[in-house]
Amino acid sequence: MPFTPFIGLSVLVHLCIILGYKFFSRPPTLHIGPMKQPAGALASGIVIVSIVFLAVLANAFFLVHASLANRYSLINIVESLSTSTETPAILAAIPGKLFISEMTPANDLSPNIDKSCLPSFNAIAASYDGSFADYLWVNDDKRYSLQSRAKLAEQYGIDPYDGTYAQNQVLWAKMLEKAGKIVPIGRLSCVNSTNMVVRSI
Amino acid sequence: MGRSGKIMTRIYSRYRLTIVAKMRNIGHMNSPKSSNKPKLKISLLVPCYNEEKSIEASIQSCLRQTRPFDQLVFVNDSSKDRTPEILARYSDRVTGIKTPKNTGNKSSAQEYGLQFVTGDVMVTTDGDTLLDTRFAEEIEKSFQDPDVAAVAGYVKSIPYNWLTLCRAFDYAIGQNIHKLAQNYMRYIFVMPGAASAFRTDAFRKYITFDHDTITEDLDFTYKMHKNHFKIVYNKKAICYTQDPADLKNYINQMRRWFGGGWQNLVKHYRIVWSRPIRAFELSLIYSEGLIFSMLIFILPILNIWFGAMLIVGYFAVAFVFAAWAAWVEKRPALMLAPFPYLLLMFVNSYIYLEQFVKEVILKRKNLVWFKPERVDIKTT
Repeated sequence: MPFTPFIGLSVLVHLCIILGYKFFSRPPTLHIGPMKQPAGALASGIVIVSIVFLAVLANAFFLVHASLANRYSLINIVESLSTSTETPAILAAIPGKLFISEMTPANDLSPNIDKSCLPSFNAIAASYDGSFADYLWVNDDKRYSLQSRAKLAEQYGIDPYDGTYAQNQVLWAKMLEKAGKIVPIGRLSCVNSTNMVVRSI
Repeated sequence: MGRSGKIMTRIYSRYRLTIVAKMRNIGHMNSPKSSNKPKLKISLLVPCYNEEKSIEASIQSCLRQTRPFDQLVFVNDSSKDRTPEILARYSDRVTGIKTPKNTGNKSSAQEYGLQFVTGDVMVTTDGDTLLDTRFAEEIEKSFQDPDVAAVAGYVKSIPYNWLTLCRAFDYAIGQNIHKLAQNYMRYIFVMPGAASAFRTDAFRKYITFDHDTITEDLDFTYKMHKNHFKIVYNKKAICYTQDPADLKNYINQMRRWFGGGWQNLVKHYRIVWSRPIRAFELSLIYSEGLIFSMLIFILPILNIWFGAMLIVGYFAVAFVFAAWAAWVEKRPALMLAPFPYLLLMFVNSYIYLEQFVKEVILKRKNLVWFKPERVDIKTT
């Protein structure tokens, strides 16, 4: 009979035990002594069960937390829907669409960017700017590329445009200025793209 | 014979040919390798109910051993098909016992047959299982250690379709990782019902049959641990078993296994406190099973994107394991197992939770035995 319904944590634990045995020629710390019940087995059993249960639970909580912290979580989407009048922008932020954006980060990544708002589960997200390029992309598929941004930048008098984060911020500020809205520079670095779309447009 | 029967016949033919080929190379079938070692008398106990499709193949595999069994006991649990007739054909080499009436489950038939077992070691298997030619020889080797009270063998799934492929994948992971690690830790979680061997005296005195769970093999294993018997795992004691070939039978079997798992945990929970390693292993297996089974359904609701990413990641991990399993089992088809395995993961998790609710929370103890439908296994 299968031990658990799927390949999971126990497989990794058992792999470590096997490797430990292979490398050290004996089970690392789990060796059983004589075939009799050791003293204090009840107490140690309770402690071990508690530790293992809490460890598994902690892993589960980590996953739940990561899923909730992610911008596509049910809570975030419901919140966005309830605060936004820009339905098309919300609909545009469907996971399948943004997947490409996350897998192909823009080149204008600032080394000082605050990533606290980025999805915590995705290592690739560390190199994702989550800002101006994404805003353009969400609103218009064709305008987020470096070339398109360069054309846009030229219209706003930024030339030569090299696609850096700093230039993007300047461009963004100019666009907002033209639209009659003033947003402090630096705001872009700490809002996720969905919220940005909702709050800044 | 239906289409499925013909396919099964072809599949089995491959195994049968392997068995025959091995036999032709054997010149020492009746002589154990070392004469210094004490000669053990090994008996085989096989309960069977309506096994006409597979029993003959099973008998032949038992007879074609490098180290012949000293006694073959087949318990006909008042079958209504041709099982008695087939057993009668082998009456010169097989002890065929018939129960007075159908007992309704495997453990009762085993209990009935146990009275006829005369060997020092009793091997238990099923009527739909084929033993590898070296099975008895490997069992004997393991019992050369006088401390060993029981031996768990290695079960392989006879190839048939995508469901048996997934089961083969499960077996490969379960036996090459979980059980191997457990063997190092000296705590075998479960001895497979299709490939187990016990010292008969110890079994009669300490194990016995309670018939209060639907997974008797797990019950036996818990009792062995409770009495602090040493159980070893022998990967070379191989048997080939027939697993459910359709989803309905698969679900029923999983219900029995997981339900039986919970029944036995409730019955033997005190064993958790008897040794730290048992506490570690049991809490790991059951905590993970329970918590992550729930999580599998909760995460996609909380965040469908995150759930999808997890599934993609999980698939990648499963694929790595499948490639490794294909290499270990020398069965390339296992590389395809992750595709249907993702579906079965949800099915398994649902059944796991369902049985937890039924057996542990609602305490509706289900003792109805489930026997999967068999497909033909033909022999010449």
